[in-house]
Amino acid sequence: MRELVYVPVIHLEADLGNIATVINKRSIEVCGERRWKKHKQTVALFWDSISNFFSSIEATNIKIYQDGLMASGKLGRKIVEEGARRGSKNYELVLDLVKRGGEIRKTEDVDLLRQEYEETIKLAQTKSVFEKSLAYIGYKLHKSQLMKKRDEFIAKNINETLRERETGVLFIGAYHDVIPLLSKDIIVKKVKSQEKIKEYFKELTYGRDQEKFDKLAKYLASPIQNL
Amino acid sequence: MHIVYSIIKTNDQKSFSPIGINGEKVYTIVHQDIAAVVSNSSPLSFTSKELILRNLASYHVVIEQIMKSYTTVPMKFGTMVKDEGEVKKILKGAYPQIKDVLKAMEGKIELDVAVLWSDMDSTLKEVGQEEKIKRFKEEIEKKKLSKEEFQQEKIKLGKMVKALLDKKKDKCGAEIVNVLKSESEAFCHHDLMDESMIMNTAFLIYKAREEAFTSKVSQLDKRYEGELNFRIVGPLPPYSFSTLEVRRAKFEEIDQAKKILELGEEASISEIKEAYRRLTRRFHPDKSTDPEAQKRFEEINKAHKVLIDYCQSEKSSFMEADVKDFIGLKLFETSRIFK
Repeated sequence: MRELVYVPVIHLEADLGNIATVINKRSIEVCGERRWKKHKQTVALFWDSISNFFSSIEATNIKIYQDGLMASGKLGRKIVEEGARRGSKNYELVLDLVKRGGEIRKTEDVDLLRQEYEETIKLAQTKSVFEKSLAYIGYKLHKSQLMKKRDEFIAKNINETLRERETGVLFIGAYHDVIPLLSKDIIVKKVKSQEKIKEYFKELTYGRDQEKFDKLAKYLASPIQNL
Repeated sequence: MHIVYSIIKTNDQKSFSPIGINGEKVYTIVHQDIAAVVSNSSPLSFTSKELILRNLASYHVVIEQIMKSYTTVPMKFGTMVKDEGEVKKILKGAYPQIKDVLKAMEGKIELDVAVLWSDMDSTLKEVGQEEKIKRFKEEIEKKKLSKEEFQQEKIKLGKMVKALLDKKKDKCGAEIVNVLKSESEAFCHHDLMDESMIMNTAFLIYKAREEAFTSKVSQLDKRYEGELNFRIVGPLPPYSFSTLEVRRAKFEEIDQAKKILELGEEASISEIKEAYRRLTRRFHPDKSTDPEAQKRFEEINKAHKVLIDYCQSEKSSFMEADVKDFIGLKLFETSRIFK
């Protein structure tokens, strides 16, 4: 039996420094002040709930697959340490698992990531400010062909490297669709529903239904039940 | 290396707080009454999507901070030049062009308006209630179709729904633009991001008209309440209307173009245009009997564009050393103005 704990990642760096003004301004323009404020609280609570969950599980020999990570070993750890230093809750958590005996795995293909950087630079240079604002918030409207290729690579990688009786953890952006591509014998345990996170972001950026938004925010912030 | 953020109208050597990319100090490099806003930097390495977005946010912070006090023309994100000398060379070489753009942007700001369907599902249901669609559905039900034929009909139905949705979208979009363009100097449509979006448009407006413009958007928001959601992003510097990019020339390309237009080692813009007119008359595919006319005509067009882009001053040299040394500015491809 192989097990994979699935963690949908929501990005919100704690320490925005100088750029906080512009990120907050744009996000308020897109989401409204109340929702943006609530979103920041929700993301913090979301990561608290994920951290609490992982603090209670055995991390020795756990295999860690991380969105955007193209190296394992020392280099992989260095990348994770840098991310944690920048204030990424996701990387802080990965680093904690590594310190407790977890093993970082090369998760992504370098060439595909390079293509993703190029796409992001193109977005930064050519797209509308509204589209860039959604990128700051972490909302993705359409799935690209490139993301599909990355998902296939990640799934293949997990299928081939996660051994019998092993447990893996996959930290991945909520807009990826890796799970349907995994081998059928891998039991996937989701800490949060990917669909609800997508719904939450849609409501955060586009919606007007306050009750629905609050309900989804509450779900995101809630403690993780036994999987 | 220097990162160039924008060009502003000032003759002051100013130093701003360390708000640049990687926390670098931001300052101006002046030429006459214009200045480039720059910070020092080692070559930018983009190692992650998050880092690119952080740098993009820093770039926005710098430009939008400075636009509060100066007329600002943004430079394309990620513009890097070798040193102060190169910055001055750009400012000097493109001075008349920069002055024109700064003049056109004086006292103006950009406001971006995004309009989205409030509830995509209800909108689709509404489209599904249209007579044409209902009739088509009834016809499908009446016919005895095989599985494959049924699939084909469903595809046809999907296309019909999309066409009606697009029509509805175009109608709403046109109505909205019609209302807002009266308050703006220019507008520029950006790509729609998906089906739920009906408009993603940048408007260039006078700073003094900002309130009047946003009030028009609020009126539209009320008029379409429950059906459409409006978002305004801004005030912004005129990113969609006047972003500039650095251009460098490739000697082989210029040399080839010069030969095609039968020019010497230097030429003025009017000489290039004259050569272009003369040769297009000779090789116009509708008039020429030369079997190579179509090919020559295309080459002449391309060569003309290359040389017009390259020439900034009265006379431009096509000598290898001069071409390789060339550095200029041009409007970035996404900058569009509709008067």
